[in-house]
Amino acid sequence: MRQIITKRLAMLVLVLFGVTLITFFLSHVIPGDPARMMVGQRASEETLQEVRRQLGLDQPVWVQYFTYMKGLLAGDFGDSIRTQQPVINDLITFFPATIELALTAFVIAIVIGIPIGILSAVKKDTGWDHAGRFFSIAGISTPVFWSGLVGILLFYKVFNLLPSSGRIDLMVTPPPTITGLFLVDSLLTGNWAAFSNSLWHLILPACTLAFAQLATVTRQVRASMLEVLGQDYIRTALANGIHGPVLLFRYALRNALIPTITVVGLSFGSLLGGAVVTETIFGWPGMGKYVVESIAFLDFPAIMGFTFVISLGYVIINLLVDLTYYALDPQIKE
Amino acid sequence: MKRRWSRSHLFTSLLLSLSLLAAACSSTPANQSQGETKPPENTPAQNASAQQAQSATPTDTLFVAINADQGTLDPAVTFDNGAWKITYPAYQRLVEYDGATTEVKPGLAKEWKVSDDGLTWTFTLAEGNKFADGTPVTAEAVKFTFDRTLKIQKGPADVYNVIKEVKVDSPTSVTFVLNQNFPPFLSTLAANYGGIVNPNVMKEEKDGDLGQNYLANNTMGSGPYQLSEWRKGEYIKLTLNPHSSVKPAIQNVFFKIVPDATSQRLQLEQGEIDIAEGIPKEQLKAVMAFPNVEVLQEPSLAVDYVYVNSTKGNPALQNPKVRQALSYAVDYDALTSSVQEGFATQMRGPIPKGLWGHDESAHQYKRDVEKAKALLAEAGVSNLKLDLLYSDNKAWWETEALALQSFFADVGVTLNLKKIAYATSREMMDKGEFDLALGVWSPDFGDPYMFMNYWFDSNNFGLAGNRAFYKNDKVDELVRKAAQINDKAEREKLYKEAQNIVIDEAPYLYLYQMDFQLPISKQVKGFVFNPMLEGIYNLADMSK
Amino acid sequence: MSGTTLKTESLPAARSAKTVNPFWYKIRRNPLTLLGLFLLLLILLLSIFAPLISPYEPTKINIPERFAQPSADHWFGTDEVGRDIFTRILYGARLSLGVGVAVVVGAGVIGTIIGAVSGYFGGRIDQLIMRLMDIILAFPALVLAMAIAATLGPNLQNAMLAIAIIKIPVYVRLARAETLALREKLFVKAAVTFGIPSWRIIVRHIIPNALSPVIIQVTLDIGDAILLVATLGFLGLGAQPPTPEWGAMISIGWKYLLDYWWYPTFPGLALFLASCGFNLIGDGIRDILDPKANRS
Repeated sequence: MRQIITKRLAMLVLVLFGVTLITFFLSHVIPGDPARMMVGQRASEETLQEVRRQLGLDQPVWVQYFTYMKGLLAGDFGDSIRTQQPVINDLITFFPATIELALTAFVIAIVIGIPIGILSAVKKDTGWDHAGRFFSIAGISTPVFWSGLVGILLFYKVFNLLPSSGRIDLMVTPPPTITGLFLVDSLLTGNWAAFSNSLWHLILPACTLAFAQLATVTRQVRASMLEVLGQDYIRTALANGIHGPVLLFRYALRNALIPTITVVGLSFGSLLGGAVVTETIFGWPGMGKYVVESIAFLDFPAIMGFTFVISLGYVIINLLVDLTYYALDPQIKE
Repeated sequence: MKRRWSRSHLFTSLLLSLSLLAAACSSTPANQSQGETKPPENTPAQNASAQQAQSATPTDTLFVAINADQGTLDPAVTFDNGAWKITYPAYQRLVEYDGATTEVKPGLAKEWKVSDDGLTWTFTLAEGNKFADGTPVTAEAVKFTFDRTLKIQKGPADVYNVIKEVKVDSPTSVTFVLNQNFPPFLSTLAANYGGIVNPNVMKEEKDGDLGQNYLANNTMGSGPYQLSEWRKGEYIKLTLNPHSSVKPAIQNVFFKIVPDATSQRLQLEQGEIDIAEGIPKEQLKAVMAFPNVEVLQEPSLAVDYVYVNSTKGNPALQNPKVRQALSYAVDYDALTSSVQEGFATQMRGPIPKGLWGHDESAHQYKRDVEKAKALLAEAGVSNLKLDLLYSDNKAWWETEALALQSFFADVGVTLNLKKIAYATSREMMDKGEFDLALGVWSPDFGDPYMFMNYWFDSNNFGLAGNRAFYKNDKVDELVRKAAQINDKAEREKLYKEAQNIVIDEAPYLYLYQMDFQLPISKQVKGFVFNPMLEGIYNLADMSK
Repeated sequence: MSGTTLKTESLPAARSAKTVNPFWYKIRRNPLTLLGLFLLLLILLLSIFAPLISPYEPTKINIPERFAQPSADHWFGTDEVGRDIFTRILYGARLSLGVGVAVVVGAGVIGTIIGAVSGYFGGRIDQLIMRLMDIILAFPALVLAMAIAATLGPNLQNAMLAIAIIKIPVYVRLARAETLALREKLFVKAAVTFGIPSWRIIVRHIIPNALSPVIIQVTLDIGDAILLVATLGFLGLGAQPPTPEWGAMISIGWKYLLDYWWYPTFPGLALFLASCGFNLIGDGIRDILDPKANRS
């Protein structure tokens, strides 16, 4: 067991190392110069060189990479060129907003997706099945930037029910930072005004993001349910006169959910990726918006920090799934 | 391979609670969808209260929607106009731009004099100005500010490298000694990087950074406002400097970050914001129809032009006749109407109208397809294929590129559009890796130097200013001479002579100077647009 | 971004035995798949016969006609330089469909070969390849595509390359999983004993038998790839003007949404229908080819 963990951890480090190598290489091959972005258009060559020197950009790329990795090992992501702040501080600032958005979207996708999936499976090849599947397929077929915009038009302009941007009204004081998630923090502090206001801001972007992820859930639930419903023990149960909800929930659903949750859990990473576009449209102050602005500014340390954190999250989720696995069944060998 | 099976069985116990939870959530599928649509129904109440709050947006608070969050706010570092709208009201300068003009008036300095050789400038400070922490503004602070900028050696230092030494004569008198005569010097002091910084910033110094890290996120000036809160990615809030002698009507200013133009427009229409900076020109006609909004319109000094690479691009472009042909190919009226909705004026040479040195009698190119074709034939050029480089930095460049493409097609020149990322485009422009490229330019200080010396001096090849990589010895001589004398009339004459050459030789396509347009709530009063301070608000004089 | 694939890491044994019903019969029973087929055929025909259907050129500028409302002359109106939007959508369909199919089929072929080789030989090479795939998978897909497209320069070829790169690992994993199972099969073991060269076994026995899940994944991915191309185009990293690419059209058009609703609406609709068509078909094919779905 310990051996396996050590091995997997070594793999994890290897993968992360590869990620930093590729990001670093990619971001430094881009023919652009962050020093130039910083000094403004009309700077003289001397000023430019000086800023390059200050940023360490005059060094050969491999030296820069080495310096970067040395810092990274000490937990230092470097300073953002655009904000002049340690990247780690920026990430800590923006991370909770993204997590809050992604988690809410995740919950919405599950809460809507599972019933649709079950319905589709139980009523296979009926109008219910077709409608449910069409709805979820429409979700992945619609570009996020498109559904977001339509959402704003409908719910902000036409009905004036939901706000079009931001996390909380400017005039509402956000809750003190405990977890960084406004919903959680305002609940913990009993601040109902902040809670309802941030929930109100969350609905539109979270639903937009969830809509795009819905099909992942319904497809998996439907397929697993169909599979489970075809299993012998279900047939036996049917033969023994167990029907309806009892059969569905006690026997079938429980088993069908397990692969679903694994798959959907692993898709959380792509949800974070989808947040990039959603955040830009809804002015959501998260990491996605941060990285889009950083890419435009060629802010290498910020881009690398973002990619590293997202990849780290992805790799850790993967590892946890696999490790639990090994822990539960020592017979499994790679 | 076998994973999935083992996974399903073995996970059962581990995930039982989770699955039951999910099952509980989904136990009544029919109700579930209702449950999901509930929250929006609940919101009208909140919404109503929010609406109330809006119509009653406090009259002492201004809401400005901006497109993106800001980078560093240190006046010695930032070269980004976006940051200046925050820093300009938070700092004071020795001299300030006077109202809507490009002339300066006393600021922190109540008077000043310059030596005959133009090398020493002495400023006498007015009394009673205080930084936001209550410290008085002294000659020491002035010296500290410029020494600091020069030590930091980032963008703004470039402007002040002409300074040899700053001397404190007395607490209220300070002298600048320059390396060479530089007539626009006074004008540079009124720009954002001339903002006087509180020397107490050294208390916040870390690792010898002269407080750069601190000032990136804070302001330490003597202006009427100071930065009080910055929620990254959400808003930047200014409040009053309690020690300022100015008592503005607007007590709080929110710069709210709304990246999407459509959202900005909708929020402006709903009265949720007072000023929307990010609404594209094409939409302004519709915005004018809003009952609660007006669109301010003023001529600006910002110009839109095309760099014609005169040395490093397609060799055909080295021939002035070919460049002239391109200048004659453009339908300037159609361009301004399609790209700027008509809110622009065709340029007449490099210096825009409204800045001294502008020559109303200079030659102005007009569309003349036959003449363009004849010039190309004279140059012996046929079947010319050129690349046009541009980026997504300006929303209208896409349309502009397409329009130019069709104009050039009419004279037999094929234009291949190359749209690339902004940062990359700047690098390529600096190296001269293009045939034609779209650009904008606006002056940092009110002097024709900003156009003539930057654009045409062959020492400024690349992004620094001479982006056409144009070299003409006579022009070099004229503009350099004009930069070294103080007699305005004499300078104007030299610039005029140089202008005639560079208009004839056409290293740029002089397209148009833009109108400044700003959608602003009718409630807001007192905003004065200064062409030198585009994007900056005179907050202290405004009210609601 | 893409539909998840765990589903297809299935037991291949059951597959061949269970496809009793004719393929076509299955499709006809499923109206959604039919709808998808219909959508695709429609778009395909329209794009093929674009020059016959529309009298306009997709890139011809006509400034006096800018922002014309939808009318008999311009069914979907005109854009900011007076080009006919309907025409541009038709020509854009060629591009989007072509690019989507090319990218995914390319990624599928390359990924399958890599995966089969990796799974067949195992050992060091396998480890190396799989770790490389792990690295690619660990990136947020859109960000990686943006980085690649930005690095290589924003144009359609590079956008295609970027999307192909992020799509490959899925196929490598699929093909490898199938190969691992097939390697244990009698007919493969027999082939090995007869001394048939490895490459021949891979080409003749492994790949053909590992193809079903790959085909399902390909159909599911094409819709996603079309969206990704459009998203990169939307972010300015895809096709360059004046190419009539849907994503780029929406990117410019959505600024005009409030005043000229038709400009971004119709390209968006086209994008939705095309992507939807592929996803519906993909879903249908999976139902048909996937053994577990056939049990009940």
